Amino acid sequence: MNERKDDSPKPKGPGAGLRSAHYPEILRRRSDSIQWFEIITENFLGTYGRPRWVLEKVRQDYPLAFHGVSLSIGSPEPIDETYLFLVRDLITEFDPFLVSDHFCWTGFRANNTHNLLPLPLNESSINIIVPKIERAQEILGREILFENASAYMKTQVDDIPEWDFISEVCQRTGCKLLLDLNNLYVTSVNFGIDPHEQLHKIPAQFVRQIHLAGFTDMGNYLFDTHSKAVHDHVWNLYTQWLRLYGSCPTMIEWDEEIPPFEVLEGEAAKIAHLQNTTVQPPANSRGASIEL
Amino acid sequence: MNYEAILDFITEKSQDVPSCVAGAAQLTALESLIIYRNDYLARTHSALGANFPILWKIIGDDSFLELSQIYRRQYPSSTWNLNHYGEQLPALVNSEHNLHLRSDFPFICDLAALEWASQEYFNEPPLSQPLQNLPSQEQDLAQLRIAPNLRIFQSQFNVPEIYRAAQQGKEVLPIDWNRPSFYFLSKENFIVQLEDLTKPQCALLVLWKKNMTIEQTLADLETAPPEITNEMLTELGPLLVRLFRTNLLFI
Repeated sequence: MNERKDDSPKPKGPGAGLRSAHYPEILRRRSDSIQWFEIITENFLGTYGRPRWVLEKVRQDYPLAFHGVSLSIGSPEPIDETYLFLVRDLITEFDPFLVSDHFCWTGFRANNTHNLLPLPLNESSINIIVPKIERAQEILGREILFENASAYMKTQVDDIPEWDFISEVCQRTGCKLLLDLNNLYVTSVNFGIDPHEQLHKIPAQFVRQIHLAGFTDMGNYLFDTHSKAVHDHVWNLYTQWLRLYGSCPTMIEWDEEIPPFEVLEGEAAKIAHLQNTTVQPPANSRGASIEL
Repeated sequence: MNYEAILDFITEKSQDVPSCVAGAAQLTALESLIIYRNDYLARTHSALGANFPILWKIIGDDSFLELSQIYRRQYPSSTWNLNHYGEQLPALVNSEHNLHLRSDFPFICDLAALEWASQEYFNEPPLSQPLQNLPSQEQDLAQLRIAPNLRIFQSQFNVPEIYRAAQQGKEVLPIDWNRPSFYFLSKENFIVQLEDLTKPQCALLVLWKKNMTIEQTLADLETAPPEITNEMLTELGPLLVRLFRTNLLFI
């Protein structure tokens, strides 16, 4: 796989998801607290309407990260190369500093559930995923980050712990981990396990980006809605992460009941505050890499 | 693992809980799967609503939800791109299922077709070399062609007025919708708009689009009945100006 060569400066501060509700404000002024934006890749594939024009304007002022939801890396069928070539064209045009998708499957045999379905955590699944990631990275000509998805179910054929599974895939393919701490919290609570213990099991050496978001408490489970501010429990996990492993590009996702842009900026300012005030390990002893 | 069985449950093809699924701490396998199914239903319904906002507004929440459910079962989502979800909805609106809707709103087939065309047109790339980009001295020599993506419509109903009223949040019921209409789509500052046509203009555009060049179109007119030719020719000048203004002429 060819490594991406780019000498442009990488953002070290907080980022946020770029959503259409905030376009007017983002085009009107430069944000003090948000240093980069992450797009949902699919929202800009095969469309040349106003969103594409806005993206060109945003790119003039901010670095971008691409976050996909459709690679379906875990489905037992060949990877969708047509989709990947569209992503590659968008990468060529906008030069994102990170490209990511999810550890999940979304559909099978020409049906798409538009859900991030949990992978069967076993060797057979690893053998499906590894060649698909290798092919995807070959087409894009760069490493891809994969996010740990929220889960409300698991499979009866799981026999590898989640973080061991992810570590194995990262080692075999050279892909990296987008650590979603909200997803980690939601999944942990849904399956009755301690999220703080999970932090110690994450293969931190592969983490290149962190997502923070809000969830909704449905009573008998937590739902990953991205419709609220980051929960205190998730902020605590982030602080603990910084103490253990140090900073890496971190951003806020907010996709439903989207608040005014200033609220998003306030959440981003909290990230910066924690990054600046939390005692972190020396750079050479960190598991997570700060430089990309 | 039986991926297909999970998929079938989520997309409502089956009610059987796949044996390969385990629930969560406080959720049975069935309850867990229903979370994913509900998410699928919500996303597809929302996508259909985003692609047909005016149809939704006119027929109301209950009817649109029913239409969305029928559509999802007949045409499960097969693409990652939700912009493409709903392509068959105009045909479904035109089917036997929806006789009751068409008796209340006889124009909704044409309206749905217009919304889908508008959605496609919104997402299309701009023409590579519209006439407006040419230096004026070269425009005189250019062979004028009509944009291949020009969408021309005719309806026995007054769809443009209904569409514009709904877009502006006005009631559509007071509109006299039993009036024929001719129109095309244009795009300015990324916003898709309806442009009204006269009947001769519409006929001229259809002929021009088929022939591609205006020279051939005019040659064809010479063999048409004289009254139609003359009527069309008087419409040509204003039409050219409008196509030029909306970037639908190219070289």
